Amino acid sequence: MTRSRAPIGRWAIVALCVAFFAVPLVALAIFSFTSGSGWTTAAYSAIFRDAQFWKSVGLSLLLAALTTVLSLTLMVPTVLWVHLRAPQYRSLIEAITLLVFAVPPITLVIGASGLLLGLVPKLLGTPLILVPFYIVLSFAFTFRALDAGVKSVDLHTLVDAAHSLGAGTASTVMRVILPNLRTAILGAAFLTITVVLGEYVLSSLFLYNTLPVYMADVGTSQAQGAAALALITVLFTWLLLIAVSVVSRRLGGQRVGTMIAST
Amino acid sequence: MESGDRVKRRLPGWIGIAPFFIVAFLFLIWPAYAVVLQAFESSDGGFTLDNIATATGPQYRDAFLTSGLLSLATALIGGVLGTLLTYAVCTLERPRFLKSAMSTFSGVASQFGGVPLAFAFVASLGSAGLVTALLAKIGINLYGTGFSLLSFSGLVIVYLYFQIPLMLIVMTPAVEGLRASWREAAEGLGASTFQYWARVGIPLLTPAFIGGVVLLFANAFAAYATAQVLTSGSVNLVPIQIGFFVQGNVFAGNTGVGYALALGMIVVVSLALLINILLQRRVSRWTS
Repeated sequence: MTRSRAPIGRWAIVALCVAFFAVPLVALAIFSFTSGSGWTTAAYSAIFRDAQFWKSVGLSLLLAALTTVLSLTLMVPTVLWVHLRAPQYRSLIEAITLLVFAVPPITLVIGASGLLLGLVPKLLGTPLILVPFYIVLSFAFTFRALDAGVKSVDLHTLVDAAHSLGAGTASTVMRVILPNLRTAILGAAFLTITVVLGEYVLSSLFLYNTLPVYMADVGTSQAQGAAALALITVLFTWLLLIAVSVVSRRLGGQRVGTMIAST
Repeated sequence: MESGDRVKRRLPGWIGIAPFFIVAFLFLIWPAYAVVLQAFESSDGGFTLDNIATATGPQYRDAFLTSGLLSLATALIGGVLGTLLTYAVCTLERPRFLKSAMSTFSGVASQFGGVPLAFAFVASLGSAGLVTALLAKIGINLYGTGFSLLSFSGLVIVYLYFQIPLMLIVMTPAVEGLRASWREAAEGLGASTFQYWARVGIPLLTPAFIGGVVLLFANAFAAYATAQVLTSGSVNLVPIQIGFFVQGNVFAGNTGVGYALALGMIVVVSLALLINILLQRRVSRWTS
C-alpha cells in the first residue's frame, strides 16, 4: 500500500496513540518522584527499606525462574516431538494452548480452589503451587514462539543431515536443533517471565505475596510508593526485552521484537 | 528419513505429548471441568439448576450487564482506533522504525494489564494525578464534570491501554494483506478513493475487524486485576463478583453461585473466541 497524498490524518492518529501510550508512563515516573513540595526520592527509599519488598521480589523472581525453566523443559521437547514425529497432534496441542484464553485466570482460580482446598484458600502450604498454573498460563506464548521458531528452520533436513553424519538423537538435539532455536527459546523465556512477574489474579486470591500483590497492597496506603513500584516493574520489563533483543541479534537470529509481536 | 521412521516404529506418537497433556489436564482442564460440574451441584451434592438461576437472575444481572457494556465499549473504541493506527503504521514509510517499534510495544503493552497499569492511570488521571492537575491549571476541573477514574468511563480509558495494542497485533496481517495492486487496479478502472474503500478496502478488512473486536471483547470480559486494584472491588463486574466468592466474602451455603458465575464467564468468552477463530480463518484464506 503506497499513497501519494499528504498523510496528515495518519500522522494525527499515530501522534494521538503515541501520546495516549506515553502519558501514563511519563506521569507514573514524575508522580513517583514528587511529593507535595517538590522532587524527592522518598518513595523509593521507603520501598527499598521495606523488608517485605525484598521478600516479594525474591518470591516473584523465584517463581519466574522456576516457571521459565520448567515450562521450557516441558514445551521444547513437546514442540520438537510434534514436528518430528507426531504432526497429527499439532492442532490438538494448539487447541489446548488456546483453551487457556477460554478459561480466564479468575475462573481457573475458583475451579482450582474448589479442587485443592475448599473454596476458601487458606492452607495451600507453599507458593510453589503457583508454578504449574503459571506454566499453563504461558502455554499459548511458549507454544507459538517455539512453533514459529521450529517452522522457520528446516527441522527435518537438519535432523537427517545430522543423522547421516553419524550423530545420535541426543547430540542432534543438543548440538544441532537447540542452537537453531536459540531465538525462539529466548523469546518464549521472555514472554514467560513477563507473564509471571505481572501475574496478580492467582497469587492474590491464593494469598501469596508476590510483587504485584505487594504493589497493590502498598497502593492502598501510599500512592507514590505504588507508582515507584509500577515504574520499576515497567522499566525492568523493557530492560529485559532490550537485553533479549541484543543477545538474539548477536546470535544472528530473528528479531525478537518481531517475534514477540507475532505471538 | 529412514532414521526417523525407524524410531517412529519404536514409540507411539502420543508418548511424546503425554507430559504436556498431563500438565494441561491437571491445571487447566480439570479446574475448568470442576467449574462446570459444581455450577450444577447443590450444597448437599445433588443436581440443581438453582445456581444458574441465581447467577443469571436479577442479583447478578447488573454484573453481566456492566461487564458486557464495558467489554463492548472498549472493544468497539479500541477496535476502531486500533485499526486506524494499524493502517497508519503499515502505510507510513518515513520513520523506518515506526512499524517495528509500534508492533514490539504492542506485543508488551497488550499484556501490560494488571497492577502497574492501574497505578499508571492513578498517577495521570486519578484525583491527584498529573493530567488532572494540568487540566485544572488551564481551567478544566475534570472531576467536577462527574468523571472518575473509578467509574465506567474511567475504566474504559484504562482498558483501551491494552485493547488498542491488541487490535494492532490482530489487524496487522489483514492490513498488510491489502495489496497495492488491488488499489491500482481499482484506480485503473476509474474508481475514486471513496469507491475503493467502500467496494474493496472495507469489505476485505471487515472479517478481520469483526474478529478482532470479538477478541477484544473476550479480553476485556476476562480481565480482573486492573479493575480490582483500581476500584478495590467497588465496580460491579462478573470477575470481581467471582473474586468475592473465592475470598469467602459471600455468605456460606451458596458457593455454587460462584461456580455458576464462572461458568457464565467461560461461556461468554469461549463464544467470543470461537467467532474470532472462524473469522480469522476466513482472513487467512485471502491473505496467504
